[in-house]
Amino acid sequence: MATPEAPLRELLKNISFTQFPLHTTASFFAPSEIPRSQLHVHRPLRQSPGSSPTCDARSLHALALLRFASFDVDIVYGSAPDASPDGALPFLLMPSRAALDAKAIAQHVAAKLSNEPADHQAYLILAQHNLLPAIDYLFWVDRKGSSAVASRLLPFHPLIQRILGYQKARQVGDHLRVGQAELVGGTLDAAVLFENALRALDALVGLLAENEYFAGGQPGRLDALVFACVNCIVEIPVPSPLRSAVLREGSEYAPLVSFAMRILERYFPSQGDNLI
Amino acid sequence: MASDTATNPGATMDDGFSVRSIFSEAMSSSSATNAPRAPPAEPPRRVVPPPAKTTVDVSRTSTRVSRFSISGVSRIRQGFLSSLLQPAFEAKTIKEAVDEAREAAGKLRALGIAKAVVVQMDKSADKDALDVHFHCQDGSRYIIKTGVDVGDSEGMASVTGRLNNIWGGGESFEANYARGSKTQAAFQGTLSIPVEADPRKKIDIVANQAVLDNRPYSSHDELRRTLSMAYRAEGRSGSHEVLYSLSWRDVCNLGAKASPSLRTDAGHTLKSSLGYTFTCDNRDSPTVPSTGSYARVAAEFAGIGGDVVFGKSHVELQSNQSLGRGYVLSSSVHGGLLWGPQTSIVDRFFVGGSTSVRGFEYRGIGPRDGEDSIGGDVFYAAGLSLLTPLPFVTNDALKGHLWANAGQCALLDRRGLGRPGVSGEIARFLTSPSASVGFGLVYRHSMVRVELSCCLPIVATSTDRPKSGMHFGLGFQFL
Repeated sequence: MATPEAPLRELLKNISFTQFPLHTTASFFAPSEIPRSQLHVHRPLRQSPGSSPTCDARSLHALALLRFASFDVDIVYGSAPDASPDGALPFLLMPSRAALDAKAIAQHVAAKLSNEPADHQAYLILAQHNLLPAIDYLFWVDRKGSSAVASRLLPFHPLIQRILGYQKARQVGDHLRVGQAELVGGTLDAAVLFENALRALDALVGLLAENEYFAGGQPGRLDALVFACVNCIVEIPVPSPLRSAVLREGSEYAPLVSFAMRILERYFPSQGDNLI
Repeated sequence: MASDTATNPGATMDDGFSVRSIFSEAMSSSSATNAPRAPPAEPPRRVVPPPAKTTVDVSRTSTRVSRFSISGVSRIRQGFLSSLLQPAFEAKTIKEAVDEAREAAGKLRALGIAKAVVVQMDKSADKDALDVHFHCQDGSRYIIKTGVDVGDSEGMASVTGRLNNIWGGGESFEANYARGSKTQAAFQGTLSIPVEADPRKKIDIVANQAVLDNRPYSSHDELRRTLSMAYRAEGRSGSHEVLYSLSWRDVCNLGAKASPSLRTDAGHTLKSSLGYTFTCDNRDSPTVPSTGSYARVAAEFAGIGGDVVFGKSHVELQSNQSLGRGYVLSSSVHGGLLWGPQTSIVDRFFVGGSTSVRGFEYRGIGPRDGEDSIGGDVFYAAGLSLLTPLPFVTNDALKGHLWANAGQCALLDRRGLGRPGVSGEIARFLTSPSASVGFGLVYRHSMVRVELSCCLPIVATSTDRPKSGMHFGLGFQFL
């Protein structure tokens, strides 16, 4: 049914504003080029030869995956975690200007690292569920650990760093408590966390045995994760049962430390390369 | 007015409160010293003697205020009263005393201490002196209100609670919670403290938090927490504001589609800044003026603590000229400059939209990386509008509108005007604005200005977002 304003509506609809000429001029803006892929990671504890290029286990894991898969990337420090698509470093910024978060990076390189034995998936989960929580505890909840790495993980004003560090500690603490609910009635017990981590290391030492890599001749996803975790445990100068057990003389975990050092030397020979 | 009052005792002032005066009695030698005082609520009618044949020049007749009393207010501080009444006690003539008493009564009302004030002046027991009494109706202790605000291309619903006269000196605390089309949630608490018992001089301490959803035009949210302290004073030439602000900003929730430029600006920053703003507004209407001019100049320096360093200035000028027969010519110029080692999207300028340069999308002019408008360090915008009467329309609030707008916005760094290998960019920036013309209707609502415009962009850069066709605009300040 035609309404009184229908003719006016029809008239407005028929006016094609694109018929009028629009003079277009050159923009005053030219976005920065990204010549090579950039992996944005947390800063290292120290920039010296032979040390890890980042203090963060997840960043080092992503970096190792990319190196194992022969993806050439520049390492970029100083970005805020909010810059990442999932709100946490690392993330990969590609020349196409697309950004990949840690999960997408793992998927991105999966095709090149697909020659892993089937049971490695179980070990991956073992490491993820037992090593990473212990490292998270050391980084965020443990006071000495968090003060050692806070400026690297939260590159902000000290006041904001302190507030965010407190928030993150509570968040991580709550998360770890959820994981331990059945074991210790919902309270956070660091000893249980470290015990779980050591059990996982026991299993991984057995799996590695005399091999160069877990996957055999070529490093894979499990190698990347174990390398990242062991490297963090060794590098962070915070006393913990985990660190003591790994670094003590004649430790049963020495093969894992040697494995981590081997990968560091082979795949990260100099920190000076590709740093932005 | 005061002179009338003096020669016509009991005259009612029409500016919101009443003055009952017995000056002529006081000046005469009659025995009116013990005249009964009027009760506050309904003063009995005084039998007024016929005016004396000799007139009294109240501006020269010397007197002084001897005593002051106040009734009807439940809370008022002694120190505040002393500041409020000091000018009245310093009065030398009847006219000065009346003027200062009126001024003090007006301040009580403006500060919300009293809803209404009746000023009564009697001859004092002291020779050549006056006693002043304020009969007040107590002000509201608290107010709760809800509202819908429109401005800057955003609609917002809010609820506000206000406590008045907290410590008996006109101090107020206002808490406001709002949700809008772009503001996901905003809270603001403002403690307002008058200085020298003057409502035109205030110290405002403000704490606020807002989450702004900028994703429609720039893939991020902005979380802003601010603590600020401002001193505001209104003078004859305009109002002045000195502001210290400590602001924690977070550019977050970028998502997968955000541009690299935006990722560079992501994260937390702490801004500690000192700013000054001068505003002069003598327009007859803030939304659709027909005469008068408006000027606002703001400067801000960040870097006193915090981790952000910049200087920022912003100028807005507007002039309105009535051409007669309902025609009004209005012209506006806005400009701004932000300079610092590395500027952030949260501090930059944005141009374009129905209240800015019409005919472009909101934030549609200036630097754009992919789909993200990232703002500029320098901008200018100018507008020329002709408001016309409409045939067959007798309502003055609805007018025809012909306009032309132009503006440009750019970064100063290596991505903008400082690009290597490009010369003459600054001259081109100044002489090649993005521009549009159009016509439409303007409606002056009591609160806002409503526009329906047919927009035609005529010049745009390759990163601009021109938007031709019918546009609807709602707001307070238009270009």
